[in-house]
Amino acid sequence: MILISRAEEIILLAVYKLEGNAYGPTIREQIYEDIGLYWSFGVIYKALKKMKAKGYVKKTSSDPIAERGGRRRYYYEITATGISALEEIRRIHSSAWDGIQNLTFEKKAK
Amino acid sequence: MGWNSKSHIREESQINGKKEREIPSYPLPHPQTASQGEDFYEFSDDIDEIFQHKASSGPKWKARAWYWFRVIESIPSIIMDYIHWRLIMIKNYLKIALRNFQKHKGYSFLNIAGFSIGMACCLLILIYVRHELSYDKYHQDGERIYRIVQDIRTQTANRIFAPVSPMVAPTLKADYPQVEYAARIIPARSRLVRREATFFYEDRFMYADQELLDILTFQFIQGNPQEALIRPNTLVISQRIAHKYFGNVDSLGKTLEINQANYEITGVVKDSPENTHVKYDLIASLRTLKDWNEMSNWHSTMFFTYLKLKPNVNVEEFSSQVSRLADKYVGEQLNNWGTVYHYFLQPLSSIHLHSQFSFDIEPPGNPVYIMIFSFVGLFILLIACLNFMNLSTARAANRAREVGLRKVVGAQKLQLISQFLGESLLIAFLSLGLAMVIARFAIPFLNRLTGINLIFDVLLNPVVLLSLIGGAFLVGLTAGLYPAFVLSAFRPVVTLKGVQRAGSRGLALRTVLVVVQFAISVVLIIGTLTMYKQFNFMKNQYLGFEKEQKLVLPLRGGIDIQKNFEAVKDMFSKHSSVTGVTVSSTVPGRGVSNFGIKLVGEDDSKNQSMFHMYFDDDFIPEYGIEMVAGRAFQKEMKTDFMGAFLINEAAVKAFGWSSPEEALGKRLFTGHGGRTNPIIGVTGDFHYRGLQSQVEPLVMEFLPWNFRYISLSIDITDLKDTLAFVRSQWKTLWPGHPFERFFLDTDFDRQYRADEQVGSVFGIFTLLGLAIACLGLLGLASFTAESRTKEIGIRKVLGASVGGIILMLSRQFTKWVLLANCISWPVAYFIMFRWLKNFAYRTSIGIWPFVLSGAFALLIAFLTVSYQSIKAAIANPVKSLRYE
Repeated sequence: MILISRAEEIILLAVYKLEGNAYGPTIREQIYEDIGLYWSFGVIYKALKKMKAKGYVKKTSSDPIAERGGRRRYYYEITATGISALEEIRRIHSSAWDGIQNLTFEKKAK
Repeated sequence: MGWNSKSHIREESQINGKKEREIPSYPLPHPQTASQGEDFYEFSDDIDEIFQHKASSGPKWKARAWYWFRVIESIPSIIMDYIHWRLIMIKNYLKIALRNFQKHKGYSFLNIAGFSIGMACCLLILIYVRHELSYDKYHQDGERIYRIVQDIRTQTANRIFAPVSPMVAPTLKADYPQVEYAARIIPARSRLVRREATFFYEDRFMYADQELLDILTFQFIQGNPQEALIRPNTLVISQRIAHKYFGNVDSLGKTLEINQANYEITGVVKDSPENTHVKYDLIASLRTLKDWNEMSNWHSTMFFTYLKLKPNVNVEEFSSQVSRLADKYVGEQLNNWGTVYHYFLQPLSSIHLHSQFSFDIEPPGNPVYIMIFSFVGLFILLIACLNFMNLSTARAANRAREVGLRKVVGAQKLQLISQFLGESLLIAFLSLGLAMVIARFAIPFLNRLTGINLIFDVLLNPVVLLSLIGGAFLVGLTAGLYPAFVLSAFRPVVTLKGVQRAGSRGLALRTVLVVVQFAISVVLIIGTLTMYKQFNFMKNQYLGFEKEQKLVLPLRGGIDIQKNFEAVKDMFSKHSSVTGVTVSSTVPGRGVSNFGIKLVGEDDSKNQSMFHMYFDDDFIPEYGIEMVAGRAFQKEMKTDFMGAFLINEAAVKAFGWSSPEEALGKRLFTGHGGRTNPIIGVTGDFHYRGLQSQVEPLVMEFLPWNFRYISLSIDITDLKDTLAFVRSQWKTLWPGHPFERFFLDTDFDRQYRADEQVGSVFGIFTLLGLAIACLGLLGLASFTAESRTKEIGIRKVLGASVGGIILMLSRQFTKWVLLANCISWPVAYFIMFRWLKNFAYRTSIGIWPFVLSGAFALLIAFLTVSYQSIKAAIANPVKSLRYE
């Protein structure tokens, strides 16, 4: 199985956490809360578009919203494939990190 | 202040009510398609949403700055995103293209083969043209280097000489401040070069002034270019000569013996490039000849004179100043003779292609051939392009479903066009690669054929390589544009329903393409046939003398038979197979010299310059030259020896006499040695030069000074024995000189070699052009047969015969080829008529080349088509109708 990238993992988690309220600005805010960095919109959309093509997320559009000048919002939702991709990455994470407690340079050097 | 999504959503309506919307102008290009539009609005509206919030709750400039910052930081990802999705599409196009190649191997082969052969022809022609155009372009400051040539006008004649008087160079240097350097060259062909026991004749020998090294560019390996040719008897040699005589390059200060005189080597230079008109192997200092009386003669024309002007000299002004430079010194004398010496400058780089002067260093290149070959190259490429267009459009129906499906799932027309253009570009680039390989292996073959030393490596220069890739791109584009438009214009509803009739599209256009291809091919074939006809004509034309069974021994390297020519003749006539021996200053086909001649009693203004030949009393009978009036030289007549003239009929006309008899007894004064003697006979006009030029006036004398050739009339039944005899006699006579010989007929025909080489190269390209056209026809024929399978099936069921069907399928192509003939005949006639004008003696064009090439094209076309036709005609109708 091809693993998702770290950026995809973070975005996918943000979409998951937002539970239906995931669209551009909220995803970006969620990522800020998670990792303390604001990502550029371009990076987020690029990853979302790829993940949409792979079937990890689903894109839906809302009704026209007056606030947006009468245009739609595009919401993202995680799919079952997306969930299993996240599970897979988590499993691999924990198995890869298994057995490592204190990660220090000195210890390794000894 | 941080923006919080939750609070923002809560306040949404409030914001809207209170504030007006801020409209930031979109910094992004406006979307063009629906799918792009969704991405675009998602992005811009998302940012806009936050922007509105920020603008209403804080300072506007801050909001704007924020907005712009988000846009700019996103740009790299947007670009990456675009490339990512593009690449996926291209991968798909490539996959489909390769699948198509594999599925239709035959067609792909025809396409690529046609293209790559066409391109290979073009590459070879490109190499040749570049070679011809690159002559003498490598010299430093080449734009300031000129050759000065001399137009000699008498009242009756006018001839431009490439070589001029030895006085010109020193005079120019002394009298004209614009001249930076001036140097003379006197090429002396065939010198006997000896070092101890190693001796050979060397052809590329010349005397030159020291300043030549400052004018033309030589690459010195050893020696000092500043003083290499200052002293008498010094010599600069090429690397090749150094290796040949000394075994290595290091030969500075050593001695070579040239025609019995010793020369000290003062320089070794890199070998002469191929693309210069002054090819050199040995350059001796002109100082060596300082005691020669010709050196102060204003009327001699033997010295090629080169100048380097100072920078920023007005060339036109200078040119008009030097035009009459001799008048200051010998003006009075020239006036008395009624002769004008008119000098003019010739830019160095134009010497090879744009001078047709007498006595040039080497025969000049012919710009006409460059043009002809460039056209041939373009034509062949055109044929290959038409082929591609033809096959691609014919096969369009096979791709119709793909196009339909692509359109249904949302392909844009532009996308489809770029897909098909991409395919043709792919083929073009593949073909370019193949063409390079073909050209690489064809070059040695071509070199052997043409005698030109072309080098493949000129193509590997990055500029050329880039322009080749550009060229392939253009070719791919040209060939692919039409099919791309045809293919992308299919309507999905029609194609997916499957009612599109295969290949019915663009039938008229395809016909035109095939006709044009064949028309070009037929023009090329007619050209080839006419050329061969002319060469044959020149070889078989009676020349006014016997050229068969003549063995000629050139006397080179200072062999002098002035005193003992009778004894030498006796030596060679001792064998029974040698039926006659004669000695002469030249033989037909070899150079003739030109001297002034005057009729005694006439004033100086009637002074003419004519070709001279010198031979003994046996020459006229041995060569079978006809006497029109008077008698030939006779041994018994002691006065004939250096005391009589023969002239040819052309000279009779030049002197203005009405009949040859009138010439007899008239007295002539010759400029060569200054003798006055009577005319004793008039010969017929025999061709002492090739048939390209008219027979010009000729004066003949029995004069032993310049005997350079021994001609043996031999019986060729026992050639080996005869040759062994001649060689052994030579060894006894001149043991220190290599034995050389040639047969007059082959030597004479050598004059046509340049033209013949062009002819054979032209022939090869013609065949290739025809081959490409046939590839196209083959593809088309098989396609037509394929698309008419059902029709043929039904016809057979209804009782059509195999022959009838073959005829039906071939008739169409026959019609096309006939039409092509009709177009090409007048064109070919016009072109070949112009070409034949190059020859003074020429064959008539005649109907045969036309009929033959028409028939040939028809035959080839028929053979090409017949395989497919027969296959289609004998197919079992059950098979072809089974799926109906």
